[in-house]
Amino acid sequence: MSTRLGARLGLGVLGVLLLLALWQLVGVTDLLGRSIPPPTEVAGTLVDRADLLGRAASATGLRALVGGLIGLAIGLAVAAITAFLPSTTSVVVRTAVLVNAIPIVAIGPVLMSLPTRPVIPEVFAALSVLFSTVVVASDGFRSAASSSRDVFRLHGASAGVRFLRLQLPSAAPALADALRLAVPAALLGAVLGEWFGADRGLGVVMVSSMRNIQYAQLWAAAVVCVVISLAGYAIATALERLASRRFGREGVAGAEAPRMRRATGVLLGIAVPVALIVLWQLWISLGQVPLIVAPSPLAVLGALAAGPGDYLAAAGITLAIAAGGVAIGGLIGLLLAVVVSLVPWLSAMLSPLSLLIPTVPIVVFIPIVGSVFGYGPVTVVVSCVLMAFFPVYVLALSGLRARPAGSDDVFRLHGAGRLTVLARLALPASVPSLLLALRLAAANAILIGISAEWLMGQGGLGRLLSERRVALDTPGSWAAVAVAVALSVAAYAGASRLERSAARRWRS
Amino acid sequence: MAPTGIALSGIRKRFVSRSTQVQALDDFSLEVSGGEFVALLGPSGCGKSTVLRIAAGLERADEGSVAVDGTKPQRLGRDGGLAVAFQDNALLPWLSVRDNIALPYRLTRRRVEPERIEALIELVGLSGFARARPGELSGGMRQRVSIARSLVLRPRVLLLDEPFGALDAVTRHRLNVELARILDAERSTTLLVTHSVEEALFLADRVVVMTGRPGRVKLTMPVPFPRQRERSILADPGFLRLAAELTAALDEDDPTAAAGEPA
Ligand SMILES: Nc1ncnc2c1ncn2[C@@H]1O[C@H](COP(=O)(O)OP(=O)(O)OP(=O)(O)O)[C@@H](O)[C@H]1O
Ligand SMILES: [Mg+2]
Repeated sequence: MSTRLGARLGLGVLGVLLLLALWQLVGVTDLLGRSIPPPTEVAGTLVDRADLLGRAASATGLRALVGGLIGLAIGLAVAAITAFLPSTTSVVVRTAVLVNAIPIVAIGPVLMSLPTRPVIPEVFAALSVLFSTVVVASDGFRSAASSSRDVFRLHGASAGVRFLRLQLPSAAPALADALRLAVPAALLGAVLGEWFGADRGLGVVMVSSMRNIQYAQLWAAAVVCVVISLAGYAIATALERLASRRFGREGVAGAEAPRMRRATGVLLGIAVPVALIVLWQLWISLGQVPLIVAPSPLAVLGALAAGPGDYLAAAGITLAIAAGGVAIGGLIGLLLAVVVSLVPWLSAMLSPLSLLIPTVPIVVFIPIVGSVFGYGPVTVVVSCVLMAFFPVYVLALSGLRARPAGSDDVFRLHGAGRLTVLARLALPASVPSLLLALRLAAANAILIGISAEWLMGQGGLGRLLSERRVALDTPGSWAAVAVAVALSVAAYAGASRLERSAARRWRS
Repeated sequence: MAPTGIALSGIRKRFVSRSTQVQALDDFSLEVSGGEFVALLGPSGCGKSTVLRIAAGLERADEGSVAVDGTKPQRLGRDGGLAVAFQDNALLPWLSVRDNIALPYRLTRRRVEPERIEALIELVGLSGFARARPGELSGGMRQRVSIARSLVLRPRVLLLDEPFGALDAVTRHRLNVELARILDAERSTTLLVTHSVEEALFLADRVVVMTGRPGRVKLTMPVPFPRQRERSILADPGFLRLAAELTAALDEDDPTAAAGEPA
């Protein structure tokens, strides 16, 4: 047992070394162009520019920390409301899920015209943490076994006692999980926010290195970003282990979101946006906000109506790029996962990769992709491919192993070969994980697509957004934001609908 | 001609994990001759499922020899000559009842016989549920699907691990009768693990009682009644005496395990 573990670890180390060696080879020979520096050069830059990178890292780290903590606190408070008033759960969770599907870059231009301008990185970090925290934590508060809840009801415990003695302890593992998810999310938010204009930080270093062709410095900044994320993730994972051991994990996976009547769902889907728009209009009219700062909903509608073709075309391009990216990235991820699951030594060698992937804030790759593929649409597509590849690979790998209890024995008993097991057992068993990956990728690919378009000034909505902003066309840029939000939410909603209908069939 | 039946001799099996070591079986020997029906009784955790899994070739014994119909169980399983109804039913949640029962045909690369599948669905009392998925069935219904799946290839050797555990007494008895009828017709060699003394005596030619862990054979009792038993036998004084004897043998070994059994 322990020798096998040792062998796995050894193969994992070997895999990392091989990857580094490959990278060195590609870097030294300029096989893929001059923009990929060898790791030795990146390491050299890390040492030479330790000063600059250190200052940038502490700025970004602090922003991610402050923003992330604010997002966590608000998210936990909102989730606690659902613990006290269970009837609000479905409304709160659904709203959070939908708002979570809004690409935060799209909000950037809005925040830039408001007094929030200097703290955009913090706001982004808080936002990208907030909604996943609400969803995960309110799941956690619901995870207490119903039999234990009955015990509390039976003895007439108050809501406060129930919260402190039952819901909070049983939510502990989920809360730790929320913290773990928050680390890369906060960092992603901070770096993205820095692209909208900050004077220093890793995001700033990356963009300026990209523009000044300082490739080694670009990679070094990305490495620092990944290392910070990894460190935070490791701490959060340790906490999660501790919480799981102390408080158990029962029920967390099984906690199903409370069902809502269809009519209620439709009503909510209409009521929440309408209420937001009314509030927005009131704020503009009553606050007498100048148009350059923020346009009214009517002005935005006007901009949309003036040239709907532009917005539709841009949305079409973004959608096509994101969909193509998800298809290509997903297919590569699935194929690699299948190969890895069939070849044990390969799976051991690549195991550091699947550990690393969830910790990486993927936006840091966009400037790197840009420096390799040029500032064109290819970069946008490749960014989306990467975005889809990572979650699909990791989730497919675990899905291919998530076989129903005892089913392996049936196949072994009748001497089924590897391909039969793959086709009739592993692949069907992985369908729920694949659909989950698709849902995550659907919204994120549009986020990454728009971010890349924004940064490259190429493609669809992101380009439109940056063009309208440069032209000081505030209603126009808000209109682009509105279209981006609608697109992203629609993609997410479509993917979750698919996931839910399959879950019904696949649940045992 | 190779000898038929199951021959396990001198089996030792130890499970080693990071924190514990369990000697599950220690010098366990059992022969089930061709066409014979043996029921295996024993306290919970004594190694009954392990015996079955070793006989099916799913688990390797540390020591001892295993032969089923004179060959390795793996080979027999590949040919469809050996089938198992698993304790945890092991159905595929994304397949319908019909497709779950058809799975052994596909795994052994045979032509599916739809009439056979429909007949078995009816036999286990699931007509009307052929297109249902396991998630829509009760625990007992899933077990019945698992039994039908184990019978579908007409295996020469049948291994059943508490197949009726989750059923109510009436359904359980009805299925006992049906199972006896099928096995009489097909003359399968059968090893049944059960917790019910009554079920063991009603079905088997011979009842084997195991000791607590590490499992060994403690008692072998031939059942003197001819096969094709009637329900009335349950009240027969001879039957009741044997049942009392078996219950006592189980009792003295592990009172807590036996106390849980109302049979
Ligand atoms: N894969 C395994 N790894 C470790 N220990 C195991 C494994 N399978 C069985 N054991 C141990 O071997 C012993 C016998 O297990 P087995 O499942 O054969 O018991 P059983 O007689 O079928 O019990 P029950 O009547 O409760 O089903 C148990 O103590 C169990 O903990
Ligand atoms: Mg068992």
